[in-house]
Amino acid sequence: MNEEQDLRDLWQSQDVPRAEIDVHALSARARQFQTSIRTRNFVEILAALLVAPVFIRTALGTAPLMARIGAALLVAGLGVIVAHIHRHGRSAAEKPPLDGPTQRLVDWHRAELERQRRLVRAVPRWYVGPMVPGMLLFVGGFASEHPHPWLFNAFVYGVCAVVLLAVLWANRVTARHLERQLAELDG
Amino acid sequence: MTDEERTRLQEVLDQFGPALQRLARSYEENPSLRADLVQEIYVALVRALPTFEARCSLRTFVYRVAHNVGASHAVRATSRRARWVDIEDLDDEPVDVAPAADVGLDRRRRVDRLARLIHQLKPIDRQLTLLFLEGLRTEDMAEITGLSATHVTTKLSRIRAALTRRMGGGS
Repeated sequence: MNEEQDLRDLWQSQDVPRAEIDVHALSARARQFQTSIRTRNFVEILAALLVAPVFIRTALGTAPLMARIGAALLVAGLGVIVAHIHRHGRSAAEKPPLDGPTQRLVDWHRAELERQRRLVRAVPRWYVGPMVPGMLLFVGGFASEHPHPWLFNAFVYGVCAVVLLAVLWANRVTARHLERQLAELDG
Repeated sequence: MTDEERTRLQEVLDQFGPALQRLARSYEENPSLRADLVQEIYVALVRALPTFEARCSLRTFVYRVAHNVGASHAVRATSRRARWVDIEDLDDEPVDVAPAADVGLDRRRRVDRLARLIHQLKPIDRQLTLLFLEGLRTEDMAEITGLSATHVTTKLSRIRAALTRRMGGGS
């Protein structure tokens, strides 16, 4: 028992820095926290709104037919992505149950990690897949008017392939990272 | 935030400030990130205190919120931290048995060693260890963690044995 009390005394006697506490500033920061979640959601939608008009303009413009169809499919693909993020990414904005028992919080984190893992594993289906048909037609449509269509195709499709592979690789790394976190929580 | 809520927050921070600092130390080793974590805990308390309904003691409530913020911080910091281990698999590096001539230095070394051991633990084990070191009762620990009192007792006996074995005697 003495050893236990020694440990407690040791722990409680450690020097801790005296924190400067400004209650008003803390209150303001708590309000800012809510604002930052709303801002993040807004930025996600804004990014889609900024990109979509470029493709809509191409789809309605005078570009080759194949490129116009590709642009329309890209807009549809963006719609699928935004809808998926909106539907499945929503719980990320929900706050963890900080005032409940820790076991509940750990369960919340586990559920959150599993949700993220599902989202990441399905990236080929909801992120890469919806963009590929539009991308192929969009690039192919412009290539038909290029003086060196094969060279143009090889270059642009090559760049697209590298970007998509990079996305898939990054997701694989993220999935492994999430697996590790889950294993630690479950272990 | 009402004046009453501000006053209550100030009281909480005055009463539990040092314990919250120690708690933050056990969840974050890096001093500057630790200062951020302390602020994060305070902000969580600002947001949570208005929901406090005295169903449990204020101490239980404050520890719950603070530990949950710390645990969330630790879960998110996977890339910066070492892997968590089971209490039985804690680092068995021997304690520096040669006491320093300076008693204060010796004490600091032992506190550092204790903090390093705590850092390796999974959230619930870490929380129980900290609550034990802060001197809370088993019933309070059960209420804070959401585990049954029997489960807490079992885990605590393993934690106590592991800590005393690795920290050795003398302080």
